[in-house]
Amino acid sequence: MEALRHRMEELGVPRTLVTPHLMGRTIGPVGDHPRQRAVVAAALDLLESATEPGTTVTFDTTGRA
Amino acid sequence: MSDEESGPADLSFEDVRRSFYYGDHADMQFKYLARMTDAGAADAIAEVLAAVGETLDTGDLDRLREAVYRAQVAGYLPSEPVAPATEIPFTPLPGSLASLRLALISAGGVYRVDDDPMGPDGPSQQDSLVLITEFLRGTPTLSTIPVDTPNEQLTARHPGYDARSAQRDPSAVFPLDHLRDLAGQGRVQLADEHYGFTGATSQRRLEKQVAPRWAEHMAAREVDVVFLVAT
Repeated sequence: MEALRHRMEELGVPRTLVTPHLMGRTIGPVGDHPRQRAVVAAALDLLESATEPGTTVTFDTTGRA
Repeated sequence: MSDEESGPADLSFEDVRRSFYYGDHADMQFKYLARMTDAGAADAIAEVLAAVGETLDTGDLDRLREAVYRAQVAGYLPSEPVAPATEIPFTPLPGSLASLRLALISAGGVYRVDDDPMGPDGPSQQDSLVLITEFLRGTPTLSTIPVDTPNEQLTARHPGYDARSAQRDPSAVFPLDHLRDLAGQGRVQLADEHYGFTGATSQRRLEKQVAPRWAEHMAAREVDVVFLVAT
C-alpha cells in the first residue's frame, strides 16, 4: 500500500507494485473483484517486465500499472 | 454540565489519539493517529468526519474511502527520511511466466478455517490485539493453503491490522481465486500449495530462522516465483 511505500524502499524488495488501497485491503476493496483482478494482473506484468532490482511501479487506478 | 467543567476522567486530545494504538479505543484502521501530531490528527479526523457527513447524503463511498486513505498515508509518513536499501536481491525470470510455477504468500494472517495455526481455540481477531507483544516476540507459523481452497474456507487473524476485512473477503489480501482464473487462461502456473503467515512477528526470527526454511520448502516443491502480499 502507498502508506508503506517507504518500508518497501527500506527493505529492498526486488519488485514492488504499490497499490492505492487501505491497509488490510492490499489487493483491493472488499468485494471489488474487478479491481482485485486488475491488481493481480498488474503484479504479474511487473514480474515479467522488471529488469532491475528494486523496480517499483504504482498501480494505476484505470486498471493497469 | 457546562462545557468548561472537567473531571478526573477527562482525556486530552493526545490521550485520545494514543488510545487508538492498542489502548481503550484500539482500532487497527486508525491506530496511526497515535503517531501523528495533534494538528495533523485533527486535520485527518476533520476530513474523515466531513466525508462521513457527505456520504450519508450522497452514498458516495469513494469520497469517504479517499478521505480515510489520505489520512492513512499521512499517518504513516516517516518522521525521518528513510535510507533506501543499497543491496537489493534480484533474480531474472528463468523463463516465460506461463511456464513458471507461482506460489502466493500473504503476510495477512490468512489460514484455512479448519487449520488455525493457534489451535482450535485460537483467539478472535479482536482478542488477538491484546496479544500483540507476544506476537511480536514469537516465531511465525506458515499456514499451508491448497491451491483449490475456496474463499469460503479461508479466514484471517492479525493483531497489526483489522483482519475483519480479510474475513469478509479473503481476496483483499490473498487473491488465490484471481490467480486461479489467470492460471486457467494460461497466464501462469500455480503451485500445489500457497501460504499465509502473520506479519506481526519477530522480524529477526522471520529473516534469520524461518524464511530460509520456507524458501527451501517451496523450492523443494518446484516453486519458481513467489507473489508476496504485504498487509
